[in-house]
Formats: sequence, structure tokens, C-alpha cells
Amino acid sequence: MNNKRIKPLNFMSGFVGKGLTGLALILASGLSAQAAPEDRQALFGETHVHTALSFDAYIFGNRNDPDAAYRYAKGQSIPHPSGFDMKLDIPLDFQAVTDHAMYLGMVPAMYDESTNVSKHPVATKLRNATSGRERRQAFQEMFPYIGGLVEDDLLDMTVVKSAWQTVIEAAEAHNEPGKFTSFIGYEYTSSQDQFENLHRNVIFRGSNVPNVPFSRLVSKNPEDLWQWMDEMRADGKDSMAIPHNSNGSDGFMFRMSTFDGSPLDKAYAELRMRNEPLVEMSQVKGTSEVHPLLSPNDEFADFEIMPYQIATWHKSRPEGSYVRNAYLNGLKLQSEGKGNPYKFGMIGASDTHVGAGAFSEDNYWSKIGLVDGTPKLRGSVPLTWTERLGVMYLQFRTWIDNIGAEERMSIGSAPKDPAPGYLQSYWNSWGASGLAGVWAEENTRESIFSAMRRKETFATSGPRLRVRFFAGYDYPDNILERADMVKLAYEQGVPMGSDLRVADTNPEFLVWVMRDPASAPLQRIQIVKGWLENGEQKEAIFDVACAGDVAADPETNRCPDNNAQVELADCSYSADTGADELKAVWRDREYTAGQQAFYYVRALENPTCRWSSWDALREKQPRNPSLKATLQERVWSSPIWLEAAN
Amino acid sequence: MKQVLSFLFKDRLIIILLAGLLIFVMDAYLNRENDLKITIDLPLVEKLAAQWLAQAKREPTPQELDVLIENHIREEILMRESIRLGLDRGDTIIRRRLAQKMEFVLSETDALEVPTEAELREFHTENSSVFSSPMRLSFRHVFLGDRAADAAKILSDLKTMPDDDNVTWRKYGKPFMLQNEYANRTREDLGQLFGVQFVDALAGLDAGSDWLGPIRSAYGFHVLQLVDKQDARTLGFDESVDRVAQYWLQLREREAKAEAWAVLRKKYDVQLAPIVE
Repeated sequence: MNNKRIKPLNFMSGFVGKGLTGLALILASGLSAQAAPEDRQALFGETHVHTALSFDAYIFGNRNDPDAAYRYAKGQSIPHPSGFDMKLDIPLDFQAVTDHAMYLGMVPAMYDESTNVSKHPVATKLRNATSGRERRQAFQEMFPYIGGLVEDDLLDMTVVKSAWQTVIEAAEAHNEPGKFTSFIGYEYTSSQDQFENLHRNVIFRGSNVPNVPFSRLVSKNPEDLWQWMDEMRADGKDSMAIPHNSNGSDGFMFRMSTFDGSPLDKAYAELRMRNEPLVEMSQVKGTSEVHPLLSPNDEFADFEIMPYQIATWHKSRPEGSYVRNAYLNGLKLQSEGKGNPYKFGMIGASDTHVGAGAFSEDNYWSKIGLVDGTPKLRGSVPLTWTERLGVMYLQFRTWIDNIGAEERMSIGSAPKDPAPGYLQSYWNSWGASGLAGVWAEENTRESIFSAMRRKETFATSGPRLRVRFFAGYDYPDNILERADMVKLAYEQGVPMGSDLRVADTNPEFLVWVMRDPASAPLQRIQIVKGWLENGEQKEAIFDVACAGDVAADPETNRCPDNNAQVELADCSYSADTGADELKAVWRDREYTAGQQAFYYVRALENPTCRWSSWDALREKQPRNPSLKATLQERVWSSPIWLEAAN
Repeated sequence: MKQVLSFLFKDRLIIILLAGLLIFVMDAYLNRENDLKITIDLPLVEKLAAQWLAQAKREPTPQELDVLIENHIREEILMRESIRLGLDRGDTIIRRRLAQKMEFVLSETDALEVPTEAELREFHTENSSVFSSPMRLSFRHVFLGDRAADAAKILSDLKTMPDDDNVTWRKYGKPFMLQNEYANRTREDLGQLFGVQFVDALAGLDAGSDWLGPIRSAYGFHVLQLVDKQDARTLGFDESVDRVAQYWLQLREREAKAEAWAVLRKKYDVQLAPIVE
């Protein structure tokens, strides 16, 4: 008996089922097909991750492949190009790796001398670059090809297809229904002629996906992308596109005309909404909820504003670039009988280019890799005088290099440096954001994708804040105290992301927010309302729940100041003020019958240190005075739209 | 002269040396011939046809097969000529590929003997700390928010509840945004949701206990019942045999590789070149 040989890998005695208690069995059966809406749980994840397969990520030092990106999402540590390890405190529930479709996998192939494409002059130049400056120059030489501006003899579709297979295989291997969900996806990186950002991520519902992604090299017109998605859907390959960085679109993401400048119509609205139910509203390159110039009366609007067009110093026009503005324009279009192309929900994501999202202010590595991986490079810690001389020399060389450069590829010039002792770069205005929350029955592709389709989603600026939001009728007076609150809320109303058919009476809104135990307590819940009054667009913000059991001032609709403070010397914050959870039932007294309106939740934490303050504190250096020292992390729900019941 | 020759031939050593020289020269000559010879045999042709089949999903036609063979000959000749010219030297890709192959050779474990059950049992005993299962907790709770004082009333009601009643307790307390019951979760999992202190308190309770509280979490106060607790424990041999065998293999592989590497490393004399100004 003792000499029986036991062959490794030839076992699996199957003790998986052992030890489950009756309770667990009850729970497990509760999670089967007939799960009720009130059983939906908030799952956190993200849908915007770049790996070494993205042309820009590889160049900036990222060698993490899609497999590594999923391992990171599941809680393992992976390396940053600058040498340190990146690890999440709490793993994500779901993730999609979304590499740039155009030139997918091409740059790694250019560096691999055994490929055909490596023999192209641009590839040779890229490979032989020894300094950062040479690498940047070679990179810039690729741009006309990537932009589709020159005859493209560089692109090798066999490389792209094989990289796409790598993306698919990693997503398939890491998808563990019930535990972790991975989506197959990619980024459609389109833009107008002057870098006006029209980027979107395309996420597929399941394993059935096309054998090559639709990229900007096929068409730069997003309407063509949607047509293609319609065709794919008819063929059983369901997907959705999620636009991001509308803030850097110079007004083009939510403009009031089509790509080629024609007026919008109902067909456009239907095509867009069928394919784009969500917008990635907050991410590392800024938050696109609202701009202070668009909403001067919103004192919390100046939050993580990234004022430029993507990858340039050109200012981006706010009108048409922010979601609240788009929601208002959507109401207007609908009232004109043109349908509403801007009835989308909200999520957040990181847009990391190192395969690992940085969601925490106190554990931040920005996004690109070698060029922004240290505090000095991000401008949060001052440079030494020798480093400043080096920077001036590089700026001079760049200036020389750019003489005679083609005007259409110009990235503009930096504004006057507000803090000369610190390195000035685009990424000064970036931040540790954002995260997607979805209300799903279970952690599976089907369940999460369905939640995203019905827009039962929310965005956070990084922390795991949870928000519930309903509109309905006849909620009992004590509903907030009842253990079956959520069940009633669903039965007698609709959740975030939905339309409420309005009868004559004024609907009730139920809102509930829970803090992230690892972040600061809550300060207030606000409901943001936008509506049309005699054809005019209006907006108002109501504080509906305040920390400390106090009511908002009925004149200003604002909570009294709760005096929450941040001690910048050590980044500690007030522990004696703020709430663990806030909830309220609210009625809009200004609502009049037949009014077209949308409502969404914005809930704020007490102030905490921003990443730039954490950087400076750790390195014991003075903070960059041109960067905000603190921020109020927040969560935004998808809106509820009131529709006349006719 | 003759004498010299006869002397030489008398000495066997000399004869052996001369014969050796002859063999060496002949061998070099014959090998040179071989170097310029390419043999196309049946196994090779079958291999080429199989590769074609895998890609094209059909057998090659005779003409196609001719082309495949000709291509093979071309690649073979170019490869040999390039080695003759020394083009394989100083090429990073080739260096790396060869080194990589050698890494695989080092970790080759065919030679490893399959362990007996007795060996595995002993290994399991020696490494018992590796083969363990973490503590798992199952509990249900009623959320009180900041009203810890409500606990007494709710507890007295819940304590009279029959054990098989899995409905009534849900009607108590405030709504809770996370779940009201959790099954078989590790301390780490629950700590991330409720905070470490709450989980420490929970882990200190006896399983199957009555409802008790209030206990504070990151969100407020709870009364709760610990339904089941499986302590962290060392797994017995029978329930962990798969892992034991895998770990055994893993360790042996690692050791074998380290040994092989140590032998290789010792063969080489690595010197730092003096810096010449």
C-alpha cells in the first residue's frame, strides 16, 4: 500500500462541496435565476485598462500584458515600469482590458526584430532611440500613421489580430462567474481633426466577439462604429460603447450636430442610445460632470477639472464637453421632437496605461508609466536646480525640433508656468479616479452587462461609496427605518438609470448613501435637477441629507458647514464630524405637472488630502502651490428622468 | 631513416597517435562533406505536410508539397550559410532564445522520481503549516445604525425565535446596504467589508451561539448570530493529497533547477575586467 505511486496532477478528490453549511446552501439558492431586484448588490470594477499591447503604453515602459492586468484586478501585485509594485487593498469585482484597437500589439512587434514590421524605418528609429527625447521623436513620427494621415505601409493586420486573440484569451481565462468577471473589450480611439477627443471603449457582453476590432483606421466617425455594433449585435455579438474624456473633446462629444455637421434627429438619438447607454464620467484625466463656467452657482463644480484637449495644451471648450450640460441639451432635443441622444448613465474608470488603476489618493502613480511615475515628474514635489536646468535644456531642444513641424499636428504650448519650481506637464491636472459601481444580482458577465444596459450604475472618484436612488409614489412614512426598504422602493418606483412615468402628483425620491470604511465619512447628499421651463434650460442643486442630523437651510438648500478639517501636516482629518450613512426621502416642491426633468445624486465625503499633498508629505517637500491640497471625494448616481405619462 | 621509422613503429604510443591523427583528419573531411549534404527523408516530408494541414485545413497537392520542400531546403541552406558566416553570434534574439531553451532544459523534471505515498505522507507532516485552510465564518446580523440602545429590545425578541425561523429576524432593524447574511467568508474578506475590529470580535465568538450584541462595525452597530465557524486548521493528508503532491513536485523542481544551475555556474570563471583609462 505504501509503495503505491501517486502521480502529481492526477487527482482532484473534490472536497469543494464539503463543509458548506445549510445557511450557505440557502444563500446559494437565493442567488439563482429568480433573484429579486432588492437582492442586487453593489459591485465595484472598471472598464478602462491599457496594457503593453497599447502603442503608447508600451513606449512609456509598460510591459504588463492583459493577463497581468487581470491578476492585478484580482488582488495580486504587478510591477510599475518605474520599478515599484502596484497592489490593490481590496480586489475589484470586475474589469475589462481595453487596449487601443488601432495599432493593437504593433509596438511590441516593432521592438521584436524577428517581425516584418520591425524593418520599417519608423520601427528601426523607435528601437534605436536611446534617450527619452529620441524616443519621443520616434513616437511622434508614428502619429501620422496612427492618425491615418499618410499612406500606411506600417500597419500589419496579422499582428493586430494575434494581439486581439491575446486580449480575448486573457479575458476568457480570468472570468470566474460568481467571483470575478472579465469583459472582452477595446478602445476605439477616434478624434476630430484637431485632437478633439471622441474616444470610447467597446465592451462585449460575452465570448462571441468579432475577429478584429473596429478601429479609427476604418472610420473616425463614431456613427459608423455604432452601425457596425448594430450589425455585430444582429449576429449575436452584443456590445456597448462607453465614451470617456468628454472634458477633452472641445465640445465635440456631446455636440448638437452629427459628426459631419448635420442636424441631430430621432434616428441619431436611437442609434446612439442603443449603443451608448453609459458614459465614463470620471477618470484619471479629470471628471466630466460639470464645469464652473457652465454652472457658476454650483459651488462644488470645481472638482478635478482637466481643462485641455487630450494630449495637447489646447483648451477644451466646456459647452458640449460635460455630462450635466449634455443631459440638459438632451431634454431640449427631446422637446423639439428629435429624441434624446444624451439619456445615458454614469460610471467611472481609471484609463490606466500601466495595467493597474490607481484609485487612492494616498497610493497614486498617475497613469502613463515612465513619464509620470514619480512625484517629481507629476509636479507634486519640487525639482533641484540641476534638474530645472535639464528641463530648460530639453524644452529648448523640443522648441528647435518643432520648428517647421506640421501645423496640424501641433500640440500647442504650455500656459505660463504657475509654479516654476515644479515640473509642468499635462498630468499636473490629473487625479486618482474613478471607479464604476453596478447594482447586479450576481457577479457574472450576464448580470453586470444587464445592469449596465439598464443604467443601474454609479460613478465614484475612487473610494467605494455606495449609492441607492429611487423615484416613485406612495412610499410609507417610515420607509427609511424599515428593513424591507429596498424591496418597497423597487415595488413602488424605479431605480437609477430609469424613466419614471409621471402621473399628476409630485413623485418622491429615495436616496441612500453609505461611506467607504477606508475613506472619510460623508458630509452631504445632494440631488442635482435639470429641467426645461418655457424652453429654457434650468438647473438646481438640493442638499437633501446632511451629516450630524441637521436639516438644510430652506433658503439656500445647503447643509450648514460641518467644519470638517484636514490637517495638511500629516493628512489626518476630522473624526468627530461626518456620517457613516445618510438617507432621505425627498419631494421636489418646485416640480410642476408636465415638467420634463432629470435628477441625479451627488454625495460628498468630508475633505481629505489630494494625491499631490500625499506625495509632498511622503517626500517631506513643500507642496506645489498651484495644485489643490485637498478634495471632497464623491459618488454620482445615474439620473432618473421624469417622462409625461401619455 | 629506416631505423628511425622502425623505431617509431616499434613504439605503440606513436602508432596510436598517428592513427588518431588520421581519424581526426578523415572525420573533419567527411563532416565537411556532410555539411554540404541535405537529406530529404519521409519523416521530414510528413512533418511539412502536417504543418500545411494544420494551417490550410487540407492536404497539400504534389506541386504545393514540392514548394514546401524547396522552401525547407532554402531555409536550411540559408541557415547553414549564416552560421558559417558567424551571423548567429552577437544577435540578441538568438542569444535570448537559446538561453530561454536552456532554462527549460534546467527545469526539465522527467528525471524526477514519482514519490511514494510514504514519502508524501512524511512530506505532509514536515510541511503541515503549508497545508492549511483559513478560518471561515458564517453569520447573520440586524443593523442598528447609531442606535446601540435598540439592541436590548431586539435581542430579547430574537432569542425567543425558533431556530428554523429564517424569516422573522429579517424584519428587525434598519435597512443595510450590504448583505444581511454571509456564508463561509474568510476574515480577510469580511474585514474588507466591515472593518478589522468587527471581524476580530466576530471571530472570538462561539459558533451556534444565540443572538448577541451590540457590536460595532465601520457602519454602526449590529446584533448578530454566528451561525458557523470553521477554525483555521491543518488539512489531513487525505483531503490535501493533491496539494501535497503538487507542492512536493514544485519544491523538487526548484531544487533540481537550483542544483543544475549551481553546477553550470561553477564551471565558469567570471572576472571583472580592469578599467583601462
